[in-house]
Amino acid sequence: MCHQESEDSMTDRKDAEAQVDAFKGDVIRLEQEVAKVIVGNEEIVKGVITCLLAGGHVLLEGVPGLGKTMLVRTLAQCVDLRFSRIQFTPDLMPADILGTNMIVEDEHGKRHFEFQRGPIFSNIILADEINRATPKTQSALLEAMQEHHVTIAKTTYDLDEPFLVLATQNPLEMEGTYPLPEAQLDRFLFKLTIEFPSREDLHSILERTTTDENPQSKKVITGERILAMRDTLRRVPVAHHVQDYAIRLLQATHPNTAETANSTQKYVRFGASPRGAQALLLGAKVLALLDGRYSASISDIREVALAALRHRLILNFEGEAEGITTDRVLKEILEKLPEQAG
Amino acid sequence: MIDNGKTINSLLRRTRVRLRFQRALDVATRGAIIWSLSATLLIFLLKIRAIEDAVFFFSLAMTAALPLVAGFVAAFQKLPSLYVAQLLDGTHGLHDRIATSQEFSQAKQPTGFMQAQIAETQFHLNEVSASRAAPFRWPRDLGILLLLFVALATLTVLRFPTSNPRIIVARAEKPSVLRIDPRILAEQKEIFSELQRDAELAKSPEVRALARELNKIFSQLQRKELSRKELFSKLARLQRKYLRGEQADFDELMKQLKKMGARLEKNRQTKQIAKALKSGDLDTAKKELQKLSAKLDKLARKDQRRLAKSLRKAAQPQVAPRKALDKQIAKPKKRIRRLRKKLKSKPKNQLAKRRLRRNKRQLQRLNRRQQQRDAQQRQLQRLNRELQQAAQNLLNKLSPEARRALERAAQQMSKFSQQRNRLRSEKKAKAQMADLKELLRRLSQGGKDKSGKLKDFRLRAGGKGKGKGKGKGKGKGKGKGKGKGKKSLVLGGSGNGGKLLIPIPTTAPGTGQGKAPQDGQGTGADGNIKGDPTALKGKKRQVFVRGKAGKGPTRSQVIVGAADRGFSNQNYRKVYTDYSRIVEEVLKREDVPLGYRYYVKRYFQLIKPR
Repeated sequence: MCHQESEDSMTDRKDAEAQVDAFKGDVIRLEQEVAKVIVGNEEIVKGVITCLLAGGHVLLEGVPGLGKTMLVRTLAQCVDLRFSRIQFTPDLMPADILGTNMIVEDEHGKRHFEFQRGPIFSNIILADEINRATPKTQSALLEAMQEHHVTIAKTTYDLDEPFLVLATQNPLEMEGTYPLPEAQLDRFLFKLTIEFPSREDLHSILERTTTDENPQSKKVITGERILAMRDTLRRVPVAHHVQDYAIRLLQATHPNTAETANSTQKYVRFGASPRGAQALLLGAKVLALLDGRYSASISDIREVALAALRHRLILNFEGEAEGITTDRVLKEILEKLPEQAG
Repeated sequence: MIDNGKTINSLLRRTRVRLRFQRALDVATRGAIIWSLSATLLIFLLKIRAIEDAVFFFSLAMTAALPLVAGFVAAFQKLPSLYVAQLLDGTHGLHDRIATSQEFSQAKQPTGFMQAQIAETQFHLNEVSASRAAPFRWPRDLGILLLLFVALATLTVLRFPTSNPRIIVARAEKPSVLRIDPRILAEQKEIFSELQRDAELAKSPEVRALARELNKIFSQLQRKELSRKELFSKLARLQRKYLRGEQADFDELMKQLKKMGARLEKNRQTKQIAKALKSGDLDTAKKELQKLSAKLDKLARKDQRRLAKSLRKAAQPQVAPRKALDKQIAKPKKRIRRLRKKLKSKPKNQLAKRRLRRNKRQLQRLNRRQQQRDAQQRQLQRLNRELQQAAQNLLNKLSPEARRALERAAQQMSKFSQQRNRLRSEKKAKAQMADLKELLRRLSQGGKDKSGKLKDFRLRAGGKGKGKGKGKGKGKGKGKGKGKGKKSLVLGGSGNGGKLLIPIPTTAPGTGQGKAPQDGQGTGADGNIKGDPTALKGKKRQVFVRGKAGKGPTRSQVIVGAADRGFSNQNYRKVYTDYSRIVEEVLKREDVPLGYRYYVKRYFQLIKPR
């Protein structure tokens, strides 16, 4: 009996090891394939893949021309998933995203309503310049992003899995834009900020885009495999002290708590929601698996903290007036928060 | 193969032991610091014999246990496994592997992932060492402890005087003796001996006595026997004792005498007396009265009658107004009554007591003044009486009686004159006392700088001072001078550009060989100091030159000459008297600051004719 148990546990361990190896291998392949087209921005690619595997959505922020759309398109190509691009404009209506019921006539001449699916019915959605659409249109994405289904005329339509929204926004042009509401921001797992490429990266970009060289990515992973990888991710355990650190970090983003840092007290109006802690743990798990570890560590939490929490903090007037960024507040919190509880 | 966390626990145990040891060492060091501080205090107390030997050893032994106890307590304090595990993870860069595995190993049903994590951690354990996570090191406060030990050893070696308790005898503070420049004292002595001479002339025994007493004080100051406080209390006492006369009351008397003079003016025989009285010349008035008395018998009967009429008119009783003085006396009296009443209810009120004393003094002063004035009025009445009696006797053809009455009136006039001289002398003495007090106050307060300043001022006032300027003196050359030379007068020297040299043509032999220092005249002298001998062989003619009478030198010539030859010139005395009188008037009239007033007065004292 005891021998049987030992054998079972051994099998489980071997199985876990195999899953982790496979997970790591698949992600590496995916990264390599994306890297064929996308120059540099390894951290962004890694962040987007993390969200894809964690089942979250990504908000990409960066000035135009840094390859945001290209990144999403390439990722969709590599994972063999359907890809839709929605260019958000002020006159875009919810029906333009979700779809609408249309009257169609069948072969018997009978007319009936038929639902015409909108671009949301894809696996990977690129919501380009999301902050240019009106709040009404933006909120049309809310249900889809959170529940992974849409309801039109009392009929609910499930979205295909995996479902990933990659929204982009331009931080420069604020005129004629509608900043995303806090509720919608909270639905993004990560907010990634795309930096301007380095000189070496710019050289590579120019060589690839101004010559006859036309690198193409190929499909290296399927949608089913991504769903399986998500299952693997969910099975990764997290030690209590690591989870406790994530919670303390979350609490530290709130003013007037025991863990609050000075800058939080001074500049933050509202801290991150519990979704922030979920994002921290899921992101940390992905990083642990990518590192070949079987559980997340505090250092993983710290690594994903900026991406997972920066869009969840709401600064007060003083913070806005002084030009304080949420990244600065989070960095101070990370610096001051002890890894040991109590 | 996994051992369900046994290896991890063993590693944690080893690390914990090391951590506890290190912590015990640190805390024991701090305890030792406290012990050495207390030991230092105990040794000090023992050395000064403030505590007994037994107490010292007992206390030392008790405090010696402190580091040991502190070390033990620190060693057995709780050290959580998670802390140790995280320390190991942190020092080896294991991403919480040990801490996580330690937790997973305690799970009842570890999942495959958990087991994989533990197995993976064990794989890394080979590289982990407890010594790296908790290395032994010297205690942090060891440096301080060593320093304290050195201090303790030094204190142990040091010897403290403990045989006899030191008795500190508080010395009675000697009042500081006043040191005044003897030259200044000599000058003041001279001033007051002059005052004494004046007092003898004025027949003022008070001022004479005052001058005598002041001479004694100056002698004491020369012998350095007086402190500042003693000096000023003596001066105050002298002033109270001898200078109590009031010039204001005598002025009132003089006014009445002038009125009397105005009444006598119309008669031919008493015209001169009237003139003298009006001009305030009492001595002349006395002489004229005596003259009148002498020629009384020679006067015609008609003139005698007219004279009697005039004398009777002049001798009309005059009542001096007392109201002002009475009002003045009433004020302090009223205040005294009020203060006494107040002190009855509040006997400890110091301010009221002080005010009462002040008002009493004021009242005494006013009463004294009233008495003096009453005495003067009585004397005036006596004069009136004598004049009336003389007039009556003249009408009754009793010339001898009338003559005697006029002689008595002349004597009374003489008394008035003496009294006035005495008051003048007193007034002068008062002013000089005030100057003396101011001088002594400045000398005794000033310190080195101020006395130096005064010394410098004294020299400059006397025409001997050196200027502050940095100007270079001329006349560096050597040579023998003959014939007409030039003398230079140094005036002041306080300018920035050096001394002002005024050439004065003289007929003295030429200056000799000299080397002038940079900031003054030469100090050398010609070897042929008397000049060449008179050439007797030359042709000569004896001529008698008659002196010319003229106006004499001008004022500026007198001043320049005095600066050159000293202040003993008769012409200089006249000039000085005029100038000092004008200055006194200006000082009375103008609102000159006290400090300036002092210097002006002092200057004139110093340049006064000798």
